[in-house]
Amino acid sequence: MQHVTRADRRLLGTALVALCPMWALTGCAWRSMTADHYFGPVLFRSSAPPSGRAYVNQVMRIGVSGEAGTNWGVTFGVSERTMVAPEDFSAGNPHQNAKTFRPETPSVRHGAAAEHTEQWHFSPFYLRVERPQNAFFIARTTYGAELGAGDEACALTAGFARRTLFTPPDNSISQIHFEAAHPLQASARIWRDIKSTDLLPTHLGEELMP
Amino acid sequence: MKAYAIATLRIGSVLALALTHSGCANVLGFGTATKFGLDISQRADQTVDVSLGYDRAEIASIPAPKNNNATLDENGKSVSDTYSVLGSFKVTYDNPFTDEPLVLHQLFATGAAARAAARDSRMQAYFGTEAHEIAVNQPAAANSTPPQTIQSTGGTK
Repeated sequence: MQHVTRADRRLLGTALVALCPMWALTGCAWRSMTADHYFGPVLFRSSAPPSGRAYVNQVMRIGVSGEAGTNWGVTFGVSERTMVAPEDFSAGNPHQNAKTFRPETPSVRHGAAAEHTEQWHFSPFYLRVERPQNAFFIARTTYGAELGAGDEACALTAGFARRTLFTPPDNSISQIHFEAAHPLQASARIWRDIKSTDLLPTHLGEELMP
Repeated sequence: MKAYAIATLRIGSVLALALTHSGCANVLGFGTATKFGLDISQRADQTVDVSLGYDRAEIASIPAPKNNNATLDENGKSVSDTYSVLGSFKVTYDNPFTDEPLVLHQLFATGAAARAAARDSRMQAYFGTEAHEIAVNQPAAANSTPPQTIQSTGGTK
């Protein structure tokens, strides 16, 4: 039976104190086509219909963070990523009849009901964020330094950078309204598989021009 | 020395793998970028962009058919020009540290949907109104102080 001395305890305490900042300021992410996996501490928040008008996920990381998978890179500083998937108004979507158009007035988008949904949550060890198949908008912001290569960004940055990428799918009508200051209140809609004039939504004109 | 060479080889392999996946997909994409500091970046099928200081960019990448896939007429000329897109976008930039750093409003019809929308009177009315607003508002926007608004509508066939 080995005796644990005071010096050993002090060494252990020092190691734990040293490890805490390392744990708090490092992390990594694996991005696949179906989900994003975050290891390490992250801040996150999200919104979805019916309270939101799009499926929005926002994840923020602080410190040194790496990523791999569909996008590779390493970031020093603060990095934030927002992914938006639209409400699907396509004819084949069984839920499309239940959805009604809501006009985009600032009073609705910045109303009291939306404010509480902007609260951040903390994930200390692991976070999985589902990646909807029809996600078509990504915004990335970096304060610090970033080296990245992939579908979302291929860049070396020192300073501040905000990038957005909108990739509407084929044979569709896609619409997005996004404000960087209020990302969770983004609105996004899609009408897919429109191959002829007959398949255009009946109320499309009203929805585009309320 | 050998360990150093192996490490270099590993890093090189990772970078090569990363660059293989980097932005070479043949997809329609619209991007914006606001940068402050040093930035070296590249999007698919475009040259490397180096900026120092403040820079801003709006990028549209529309896939074009390869020559061997193009439809040819009786004279052997290509009749399929490029991908059909009908769209309208409005981007408003301001100081990145203010309440309204970036506002985007984008509407795009792609492929067959763009061709169908171009024939539809409601969409014609929508894009006509958008074009009118741009024509009326553009000179004022150009002379205004920040936030700056960039607005455009158009299509390709």
